[in-house]
Amino acid sequence: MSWSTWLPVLVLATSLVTGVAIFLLHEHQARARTALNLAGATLKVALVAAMVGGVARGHYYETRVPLVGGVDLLLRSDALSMLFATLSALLWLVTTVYAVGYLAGGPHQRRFFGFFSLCVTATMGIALAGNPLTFLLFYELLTVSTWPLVVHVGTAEAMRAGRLYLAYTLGGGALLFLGVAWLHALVGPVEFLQGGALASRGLGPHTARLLFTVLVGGLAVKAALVPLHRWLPTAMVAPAPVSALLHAVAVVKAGAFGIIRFSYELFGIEYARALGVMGPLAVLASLTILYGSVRALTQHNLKRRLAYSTVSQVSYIILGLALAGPVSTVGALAHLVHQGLMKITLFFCAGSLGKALGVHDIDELGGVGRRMPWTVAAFTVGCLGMMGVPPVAGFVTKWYLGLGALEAGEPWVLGVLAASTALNAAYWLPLLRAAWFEEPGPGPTLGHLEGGLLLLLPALVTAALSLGVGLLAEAPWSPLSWARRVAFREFYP
Amino acid sequence: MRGAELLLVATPVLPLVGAVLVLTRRTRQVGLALAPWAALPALGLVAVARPGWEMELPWVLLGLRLGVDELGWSWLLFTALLWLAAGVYASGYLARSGERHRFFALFLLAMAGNLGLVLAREAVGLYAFYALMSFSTYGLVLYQGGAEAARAARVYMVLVVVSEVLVVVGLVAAVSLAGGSGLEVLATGLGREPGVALACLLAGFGVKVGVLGLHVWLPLAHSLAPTPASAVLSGTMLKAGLLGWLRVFPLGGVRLAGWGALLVALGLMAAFIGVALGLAQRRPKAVLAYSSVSQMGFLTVGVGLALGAAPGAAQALPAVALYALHHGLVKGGLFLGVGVAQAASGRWQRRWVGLGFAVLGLSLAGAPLTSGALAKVALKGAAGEGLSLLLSVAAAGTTLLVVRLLWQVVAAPPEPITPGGVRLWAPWAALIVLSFSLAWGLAPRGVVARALSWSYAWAALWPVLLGALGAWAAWAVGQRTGARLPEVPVGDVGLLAVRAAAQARAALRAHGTQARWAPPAWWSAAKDLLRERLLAPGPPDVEVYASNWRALEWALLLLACLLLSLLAGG
Repeated sequence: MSWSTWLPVLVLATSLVTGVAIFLLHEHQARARTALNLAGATLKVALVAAMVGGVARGHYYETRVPLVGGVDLLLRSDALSMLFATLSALLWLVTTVYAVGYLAGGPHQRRFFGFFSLCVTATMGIALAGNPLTFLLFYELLTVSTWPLVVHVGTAEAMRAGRLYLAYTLGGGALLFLGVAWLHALVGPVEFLQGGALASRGLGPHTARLLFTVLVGGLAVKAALVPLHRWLPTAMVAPAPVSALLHAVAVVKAGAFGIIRFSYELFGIEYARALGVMGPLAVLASLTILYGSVRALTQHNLKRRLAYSTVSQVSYIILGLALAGPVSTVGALAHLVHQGLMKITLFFCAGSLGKALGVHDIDELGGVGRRMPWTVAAFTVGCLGMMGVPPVAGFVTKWYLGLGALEAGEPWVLGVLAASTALNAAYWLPLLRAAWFEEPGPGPTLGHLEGGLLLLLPALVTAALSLGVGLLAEAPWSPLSWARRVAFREFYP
Repeated sequence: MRGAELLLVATPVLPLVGAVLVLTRRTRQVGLALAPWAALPALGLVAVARPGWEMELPWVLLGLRLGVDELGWSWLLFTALLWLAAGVYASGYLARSGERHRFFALFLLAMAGNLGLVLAREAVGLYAFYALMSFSTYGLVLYQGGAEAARAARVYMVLVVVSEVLVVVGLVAAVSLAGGSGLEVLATGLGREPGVALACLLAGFGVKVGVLGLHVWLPLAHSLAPTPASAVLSGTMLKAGLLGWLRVFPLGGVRLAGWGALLVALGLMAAFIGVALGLAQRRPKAVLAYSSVSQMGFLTVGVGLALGAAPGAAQALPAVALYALHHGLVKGGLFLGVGVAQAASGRWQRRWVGLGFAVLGLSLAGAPLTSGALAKVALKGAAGEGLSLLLSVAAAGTTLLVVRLLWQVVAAPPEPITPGGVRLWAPWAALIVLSFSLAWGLAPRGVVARALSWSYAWAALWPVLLGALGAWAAWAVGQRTGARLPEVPVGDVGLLAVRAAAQARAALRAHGTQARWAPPAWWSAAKDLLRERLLAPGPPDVEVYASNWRALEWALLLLACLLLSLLAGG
């Protein structure tokens, strides 16, 4: 076996081995655990970087193992998987640092970091999956390995949220399983293919439509499309680093990424459009965007507001791909990364505010900008980005979605984007006003490194990245440039 | 070209750097020392730039292009001058404020946005700088604190968001129609299919211009922001909306008569109603703000003429540029003067201040030999007979406003707490001199000749005389009968909207507590069933879970290892 067949396995192994080792350690071996975590995360970033470099030069990495009945277990790298893998690897490293700081001194860290590593392994597997079956396996692994993280604090509320999470995601997983099984029964072993694998398989249009509905329906649970979104706001009882990863990369993005994979490389965008399934998906995504924003407006708990905002923002990705044009797809793919960077920043900051000042509700935000200026500065970048204010990353996405909507001949989408922008402003700006311009009440005066370096640094890094990828959107290494490469080389060659 | 590129980049970047320096505690003193002078690169650019200078920063945003064209040059001139004057002024005005770093941080951010948007040569950069300017100004409006400022800031922010949304939608549509985002092509698409896109841009930038109905933020923000911020708000930021129009509208290309007529009508209405509302104000800064609504109406008329391609429209664009320069400097000077007047205590000091105000006021009204007369000649050159007459009548109204302002400023007792000093009156005096001289130097020769002709001297004089006569008559009537002008609260119809919004919110809240939407019975039943079967809560027994953890850990690990060993072994 050569380097190009080993690399995908190694990328997965870095976090899996870390997970195994952590489970073997004792709870009190905190230093060893942290060292392991950081080593694993750093190594993964390095390996993914090597892989990205290779893919950019036209290399191809593939690991293929026959499983059963002519179906292979298949990991491989293409430009699309690299987009998601880079995001996951990078944010895993940052979140690990944050989690070490956040959970310091707390109970059950062995369990936490063990499942944390498994969770990232699953995410990487989803990114690299080369056929529906491999995707399904890692998708289910993700569901199960995330549950312990959601219920980590062990309160009755957390347990309830965990049950809701499992009910929804296992239900979605079952639907996806059904879809994949049916797919194999219909056409036999099939792989994700540039331009779509099913286009020429001679499926009846009704069968194909139903198959699409079942598959995307299964994925839509994790992507939190209305009306399958309920688990997400409830799951915000999880510790901040978990919410951060859940909302930015792991679960929600796995769903969105899956929808992109299945519609572009299983069905193929031309075929999907011909089937007439993209229009309804765009409408559903638009409804989700608006519904999430309206609900976010009425939330008083900071993390719940963030969660509903995720419901809304993730559907930008779905909307972009459902518009089925190259420009809107560039927007959708870039938003996969942009939303992750911005939302993880917001959750990091919300967690720090809760940890350092005990701020959980938006009513308590008054004057926090004077106590934790750097944290709130990072938070501000995230908020403005979500609203789509340039030069933060969210603007770039919105611009491309708008242009893409017009290119696809769907001008009504501009109305959705405009309404969403206004709603976003309505639920972010009051927070910023309170944080910066109100006088702080009685309480601790923090300042300097605020909640601790380990909590502050990750937030600053992701905030800087959110700003950087928007400000330098046309740089050759930016998510936008990579998204363009995916869209124009793989989807619309 | 190296030096040129450096200046082009430094113009927006130096204020940004200044803002960062001011915000960081260790470098704060350096930042505060730099802040008043942050507009100097822009002035340097004005001094050396040749129209057509342009550069591209291909990595920045979606390919940022900065440059100076003819319109941008004159815009940059007064914008930079005013920011410089306001910066120096603010360093004196806020010298005793312990929170002045907060002011200067936002001031510098807004400056960066304002200067940058003049240089932007493509739609995305234009919008980015526009947004930077608009959002930072929120903090300037809120700076003085108190319930009134909070309300003004809220109204401001709501309209900023409205403006941003409309502008970005309009720009996306324009770029899509034109097939490119460069300003040189942007208008072509709109010329072909104006429709919704043009309406969005008209209203979006119109918020900033203060088009009637969207103007409500303007008097509130101007009267409550610190005086140097009011000066740049009125002098340059309103003009940013105007520049937005000029950059995106298809001027001089296709004939959009309907849209042009609409703008002319809106402009005329603003010109008259602004005067009427301004007369009903008690505070000098509110009077000045409504005067700005009125004056922006004059400019809107100019844009409407250019857009409608009326006869003589070719002159409309330079006329608008000249008028913007004149009004920017004069109105900035008037606002700064309000603070100077508050600080002036001695008899002679107050006389000088009165003189300065008189000069600026006459210029605003368009009395002969002032820059106002010049700007009005240029504008009337583009308008027809009837329209010119209406504009002259509006100018008489402006005179009334000026008299009212002078009266308020002279009558008001000085406020001894206001700090004075050279940093206040020097920029003010400089603006008076520049406002008087610059326009004459820059106007086309034909316009200057016409403005100096006898026939025009009378045309410029009679509105001022009429206004003065009206003011005297009003004063006389007031003396005899004791009647006073009615008072309209600052923000006029906007306040009604604020009140309506508050009522609606209260009503919603009351409704929300009374009746929630109840799901149908079958839904609840199904939900209960699901909950019992699927989510049976069971005792939240942590022990039970704890004993099961190991099993889950190992099962998952085994699964993952299996997958991976399969992959590795294959």
